[in-house]
Amino acid sequence: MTQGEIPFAMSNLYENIKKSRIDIDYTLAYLGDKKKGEDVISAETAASKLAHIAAVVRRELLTREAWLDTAAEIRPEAQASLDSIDTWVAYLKPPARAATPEVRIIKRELADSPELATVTENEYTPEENPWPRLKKDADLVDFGSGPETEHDQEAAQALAEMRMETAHRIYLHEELLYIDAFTLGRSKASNEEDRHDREMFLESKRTEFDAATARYVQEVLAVKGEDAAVTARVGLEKRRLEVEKSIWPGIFSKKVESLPPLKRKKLGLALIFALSSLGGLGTFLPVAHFAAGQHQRSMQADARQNNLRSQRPLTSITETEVLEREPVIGTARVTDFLSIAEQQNREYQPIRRTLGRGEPADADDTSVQRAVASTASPSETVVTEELTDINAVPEENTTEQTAGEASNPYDAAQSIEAIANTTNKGTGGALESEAPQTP
Amino acid sequence: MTQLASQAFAQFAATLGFPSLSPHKQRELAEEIGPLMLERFLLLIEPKLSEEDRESALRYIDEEDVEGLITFLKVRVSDFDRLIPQLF
Repeated sequence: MTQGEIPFAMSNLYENIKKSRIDIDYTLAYLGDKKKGEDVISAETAASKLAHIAAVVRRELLTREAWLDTAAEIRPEAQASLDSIDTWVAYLKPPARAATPEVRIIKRELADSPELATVTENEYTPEENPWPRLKKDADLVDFGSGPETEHDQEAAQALAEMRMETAHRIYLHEELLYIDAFTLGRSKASNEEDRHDREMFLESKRTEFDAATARYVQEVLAVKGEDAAVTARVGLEKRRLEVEKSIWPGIFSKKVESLPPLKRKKLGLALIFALSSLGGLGTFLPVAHFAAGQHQRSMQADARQNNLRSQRPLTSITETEVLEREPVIGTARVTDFLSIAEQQNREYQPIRRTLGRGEPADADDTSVQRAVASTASPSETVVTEELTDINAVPEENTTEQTAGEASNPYDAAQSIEAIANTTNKGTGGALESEAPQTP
Repeated sequence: MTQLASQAFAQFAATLGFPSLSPHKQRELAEEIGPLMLERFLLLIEPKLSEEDRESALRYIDEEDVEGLITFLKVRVSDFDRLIPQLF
């Protein structure tokens, strides 16, 4: 940063701090009492908004760390602003949030049901159960052994909504931690060791955030259905990208952002096809199967899962078993699978023959081509039906297409298919024998 | 739609936790999230590339050659395989 840039950057920082104070006042003004008919936003939303403001101010501070010492007068002000935000975020995030009006409403719905007399306000006090988990919630509701009644259904619905609410709280909590880790991870490290530590920290927070995201979406799927779950997933993905870009906008991201919507869509689909062809999607299928099955079977599965866990070590589970009895793997995440796969080549080799893991990467490496070849057997029938639904792809910005541009987003799939078939007819490759043969 | 494209949509939806989504919804999900995932993928990759490699990668994006881009990145980024799970 040159001398001339410092005043500009400083005024920018002042502006951000000033704006953050206005945003805090504005956000807190909307925290009120729903019962009194006041305009309110949820405590989670407020916490999330404030955390975002804090992330912006922190970024300003981090990027100006080198010269901030010379501008001593601004540091206390910035720090005071951050402290104020942190105090509010700490107050609003999940443990304290359990006592806010919206949660009491859900509790009352449960308590009002005569079949659920065991559920009382006292049992839900934040002090006793500040961070309610699904199992604890389930324990509090006794469905009895008789035939299912209307009240049972209502209670089950209320419980499902509470699970969704809890998953949302956990998601927001993990998001805050992830934002902080991402901010730190993308800031300039003083040495290689520091950089490595930051990357590792970010990766661990990312894993936890991803798990919280997946769980929340599954709860939405169970309570509100397919459409709402897809919308939620897309919304979360957009929000995450926006946050990441606001902290560290890369040149690639700017490039993609500048492309017309149809081109972006085509590139996005091409990425999915490419990962699929290389086996990158299939690798994670068992985890996804588990995540999807978790909700429907959660209560019954908990006991079975614990039982099975106690009987067998996780590393002895085969791919087939994972697909057939998802709960066996319990809370395994993508990283668990990868580490298991690293240790146990024998069982996971078929599903991780992807991307040439572990092979040396050099300019002559043909593992990608071989991996592509391995995904399609010579006998695989290519469906030659007309791509009728291509016409259904929105025609927006079609005028921006060049003459040489492919006219539909599925060209990538066709080309991958062509490569796969051509390559496979040729030399095949060492990985071919590992590929599952299409009947 | 080709069989491979349908398979890719189905796999993608399942990977995101929707194994029983209707084909129509699978496609909608891929169309909505695909571009976002591409940006996140590039955000992950970018710090690991040299200036020269970034220029090359930008050319692949200009040419809309995602396959070529991935092949290129796989060679240039030593921990490329480790980055893919971070997208899901």
